[in-house]
Amino acid sequence: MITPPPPTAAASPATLAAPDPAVESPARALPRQGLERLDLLLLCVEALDLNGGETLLWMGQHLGLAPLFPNRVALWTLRSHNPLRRACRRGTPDAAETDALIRLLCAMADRVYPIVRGLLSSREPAEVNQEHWRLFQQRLTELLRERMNVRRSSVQALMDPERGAEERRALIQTLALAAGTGGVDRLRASLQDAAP
Amino acid sequence: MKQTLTYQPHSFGSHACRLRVEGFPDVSTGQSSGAVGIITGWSLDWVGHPQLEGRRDHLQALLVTVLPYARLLLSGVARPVGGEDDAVRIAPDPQGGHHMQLRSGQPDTPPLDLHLDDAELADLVRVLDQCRLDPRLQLPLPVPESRPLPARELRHRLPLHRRLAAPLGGLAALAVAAGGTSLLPTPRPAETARQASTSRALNPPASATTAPAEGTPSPSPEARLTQARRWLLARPASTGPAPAAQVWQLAVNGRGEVVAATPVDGNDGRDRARLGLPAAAVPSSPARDALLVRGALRPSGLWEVAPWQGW
Repeated sequence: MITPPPPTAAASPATLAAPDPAVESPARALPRQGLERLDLLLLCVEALDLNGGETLLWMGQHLGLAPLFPNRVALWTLRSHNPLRRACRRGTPDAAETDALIRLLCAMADRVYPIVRGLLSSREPAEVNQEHWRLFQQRLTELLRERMNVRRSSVQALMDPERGAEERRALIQTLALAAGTGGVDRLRASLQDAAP
Repeated sequence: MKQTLTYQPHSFGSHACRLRVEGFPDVSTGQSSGAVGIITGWSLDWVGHPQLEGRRDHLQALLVTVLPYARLLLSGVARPVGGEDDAVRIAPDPQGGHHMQLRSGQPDTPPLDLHLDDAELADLVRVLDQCRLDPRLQLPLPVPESRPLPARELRHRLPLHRRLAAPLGGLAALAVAAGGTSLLPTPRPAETARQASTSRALNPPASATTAPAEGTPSPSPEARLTQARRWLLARPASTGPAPAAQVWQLAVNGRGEVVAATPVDGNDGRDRARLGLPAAAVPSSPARDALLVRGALRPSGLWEVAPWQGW
């Protein structure tokens, strides 16, 4: 299906890992909605990249986040703070951990940016575009059914081909606008939004 | 030596968007030859759109408009950024996508309208991000800091029925409380059957307070007060012309009889306006053995009777 392209030179992992004064801001723990959205975005990346689980670990090591994510269990433990998970953990992860996850997500979004762009583009042939969306929805539904609590209404809505279309597009648009180094502070701020 | 910095959304495939920034290093501040400290111009090549060109001010306007708009979109807030008179204005298009309007600084030049889809907007955001974070571009290009949005800007995330639940629930609770309160009985204003039964418990039997016989010692002040209370409770409508009066002045003689009664307007008794003439007015200089008593009807429905020394 969709194969991930090589990382771009414009925003390399090294660039993402380097502390940039334009990106740095006081770290703050994410609220519950932020944790949910962050984990869903990572799940979207895995749906776009067939080898996404391995790539996440590889990218984490490339970004110098190995002390926080030494193995896939540590990464899974951190992502399990998402209340929508089938087996979720109590408590709130540290701000440093969530910040590392945000950097990891932006690096992964940068990696899959061409695929994301193709999904969002209105200049693509409609049939091709629909087929890409169908494949993405199918893969995301499989991952949601495998890892999330499918009794939650928000998960059911996201898995629904009709009801979840808008939410899936919003997740893809978030990946597109948060990709790369410049997207870190934007994404962090949006994940820290107050609860409505 | 003139420098040209090129930014693209990604380094392979079709280049749908390309930003070129040209300038010179600012040698007065010791910048190296590969840096750009003075921007002489920039151009944005877009597939399907006219080429955009401008000076540093226009690039700055593009940065402070497009990047905050992208920040709002990440929170799901589709709101225009930029005023009607600003060089750059971007807003969500009702038909889908985004509408960007660019105004030239030259006179008699109409504004340029561009319709962008989500992919083109993402391309633009990426090249602008690369531009502002490029270490070779050594001049300040400030952009607004990304901040979390307050709850009032995110109300659209809640469904309508959940947004209306709290105010409607409050109104319903208020209506139920008001209805329940209106069903409670209100106490009757003046002497009621309940008061009469209560007063019987408060007042001793008539036999115990009958007037003493001639030659017997005068009743105690307590007995006279009891007699005054009994008179107030048993006061028939024909007793005085002011049955609604709630303060009375009574004179009780040595035999325990109420010899004079005067209704008084006002609870504090300072208003001496009389409401009418009772059977007999309280004399200004009553008999020596008469006890002046003042009775007041309290909101609880009971008469409070106490000796009164006069004005």
